[in-house]
Amino acid sequence: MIASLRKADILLFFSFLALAALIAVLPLMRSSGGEQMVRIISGGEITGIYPLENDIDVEVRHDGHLNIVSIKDKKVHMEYSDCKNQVCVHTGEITRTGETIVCLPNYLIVEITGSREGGDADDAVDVIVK
Amino acid sequence: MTPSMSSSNEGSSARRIALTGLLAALALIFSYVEVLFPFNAGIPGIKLGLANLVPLIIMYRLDARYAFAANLIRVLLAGLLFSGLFAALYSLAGSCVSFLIMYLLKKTDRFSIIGVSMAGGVFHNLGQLAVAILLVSGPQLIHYMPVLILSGMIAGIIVGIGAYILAERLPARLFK
Repeated sequence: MIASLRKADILLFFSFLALAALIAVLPLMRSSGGEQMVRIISGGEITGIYPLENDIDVEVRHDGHLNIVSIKDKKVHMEYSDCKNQVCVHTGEITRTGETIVCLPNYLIVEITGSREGGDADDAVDVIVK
Repeated sequence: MTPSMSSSNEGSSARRIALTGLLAALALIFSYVEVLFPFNAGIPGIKLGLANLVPLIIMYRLDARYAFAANLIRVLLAGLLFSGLFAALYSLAGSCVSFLIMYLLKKTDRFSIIGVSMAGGVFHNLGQLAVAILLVSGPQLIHYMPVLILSGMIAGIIVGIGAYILAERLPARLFK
């Protein structure tokens, strides 16, 4: 079986590994200067931006679904989700700029960004705060 | 000679339809086995893709066209039966991209069935990721690419080894 492997197989194997490593390293190289913010994007729209410093639980409702994002001790995790697969809850805690928690079934993305000036943030900030 | 008789070396259309249906049913069984015994190594959302054995072997031993048709039917049926419309859309995108890549790699004749399967696994995941990025409109999802590439490689290699062993040992008269 080993003998049936071809040169191109091995090349492809290491290309995939290199690509994966490259993308994994990219967000670490981005400078995390300034205040870190937690950005919540629900259904493609930014529904809230919160400083990573302040402990808070945020309820995000979209299309009849509920997620609870918890910011605590400069860490973010998905406290609760009513989605079927619970991938977001199992993601655990994120702390670094560029890291994300995603709940695909409920169209929700939680992202840590570098600073308060995070793109088109001004249209729908702080909709739901608990 | 009528046009319908000129393609007699490929068998009648009834025979082709029956064979495609049989192969699709076989592939569906593999999907079902994976629903019964999910090999997901503790990470939800990641699976082995056992059903890819069928198109792989058909592609190598019979004809890519049968592989494509059987796989398409299998993905639609398995998606609707086991995971719902939403997930079926993801599966469809993943498997179409994956099949295209596997077909092209096989055509170059430079890769073994294991390498082809590995690429298929990776691009299955990347196809799904592309749909997710479009649907959730979140380019941030790109951060999941490393995990998806690695898991696709591992699953693809395991399935590829299985396909290699089976493609070698299945008797030739099965494919006549």
